[in-house]
Amino acid sequence: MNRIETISILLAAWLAVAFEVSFNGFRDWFGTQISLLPALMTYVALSSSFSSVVVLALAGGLMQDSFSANPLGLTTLVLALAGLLMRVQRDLVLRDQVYAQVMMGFIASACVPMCVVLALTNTRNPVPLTWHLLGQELVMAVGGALATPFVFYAFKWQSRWFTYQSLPESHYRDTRQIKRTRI
Amino acid sequence: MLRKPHYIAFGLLALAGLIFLSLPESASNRVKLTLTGLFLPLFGLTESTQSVARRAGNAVVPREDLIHELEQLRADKQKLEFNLAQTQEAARENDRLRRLAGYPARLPWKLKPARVIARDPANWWRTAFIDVGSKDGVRLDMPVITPEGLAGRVSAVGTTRSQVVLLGDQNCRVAALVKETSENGVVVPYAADPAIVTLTYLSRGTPVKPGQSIVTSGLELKPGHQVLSSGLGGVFPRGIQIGEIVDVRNVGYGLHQEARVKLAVNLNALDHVWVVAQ
Repeated sequence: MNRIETISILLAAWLAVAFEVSFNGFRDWFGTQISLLPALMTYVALSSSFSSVVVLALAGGLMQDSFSANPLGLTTLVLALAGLLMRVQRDLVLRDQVYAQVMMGFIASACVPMCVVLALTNTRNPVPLTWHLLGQELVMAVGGALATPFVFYAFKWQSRWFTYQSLPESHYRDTRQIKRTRI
Repeated sequence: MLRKPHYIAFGLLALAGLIFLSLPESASNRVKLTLTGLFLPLFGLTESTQSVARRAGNAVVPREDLIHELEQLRADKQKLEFNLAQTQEAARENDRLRRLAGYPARLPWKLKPARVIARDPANWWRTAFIDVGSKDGVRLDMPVITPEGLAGRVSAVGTTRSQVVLLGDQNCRVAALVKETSENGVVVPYAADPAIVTLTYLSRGTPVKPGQSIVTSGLELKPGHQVLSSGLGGVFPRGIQIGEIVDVRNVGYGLHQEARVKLAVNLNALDHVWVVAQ
């Protein structure tokens, strides 16, 4: 994990939480706020290093919980679990394909809030499990799924700007050519 | 595949999460309020952007509109001055009568204006952050209101920011009464609709058996009746508007009634609020 990548992930987590706490458009239109952290975790788990998963789960989870009535640390644990599971299976996922990114984003965006709600059922103030909540989860999952390819694109764009590009490999070697001459 | 250092890192992360989870509530709130300090540039930027947009909007308003609005405001001000004079006379009379009856004098509210700077990112909680804190005299459990009615109460206080738990959240229950019938109840969340709360533990006013009726106030609850804070809980002062009744039904095998109440305040559009220092 290089320094630029760590800074980018932390900045993206900050922006994701800032968007969630200050932008009310989705709340007004759909009655639900869309979380971008699961989409970000999908990118990090599939395309980045394990240290990035840990950094994102810790920083993103704590930042999100600081603005929420959730117990501090709950989102960190759930994000870390989601990141670990995706990281373990990353070799089986066609992560460069948009449909794979959308599907993984959908699963992560559905599972993370659902796990938080299930964990909260064991607390002093359990969240009532209603159809309204299920509808909200669905909107969050769809929103997160649609945001995931954009996250991949944004990091690809960032990587193009801040890292060295690999040169295309060629099998042509000038010194290894058979010189055909007249005998 | 994961290697041994990965499992160790994941274990340490899980341990950190569990430590945060096991923090006492006061310490957890302090850490949360400290972490929100990371977003101060965002709050500043939002305020500056809104201020610039407002100034840009003001610059393009036609002069005729401004003059018309000024005249309207002058007329409103005169009406309000007459109302104030009447109210002050009534308040003086009320004070005099309270003194004669031996009741303690009613203290006026001290209102502290605040701006909502952030909302809870989780959809299952209803909390918000405001830009005033202990430095501005805000204390725990102070009521938060808008001109339309009650919004919530202060649940955590930082130096310059506070967390407000809004009506309809699991952690915000209000002792309330129906203005027309004086029935007392408790406002609790209604999970299916964020714009509605439930007023529960209302005494039954409908027949138990044919020909029998047990009523306390003698009046039946109806849609459209106003719901106000009753002041019984000790947190919210009496008489703040909460909303109006949508419908009433019997619950608990007919032991008591509950009413769905449409909130007077649109909690999704909260922008400026007032903290009440009693």
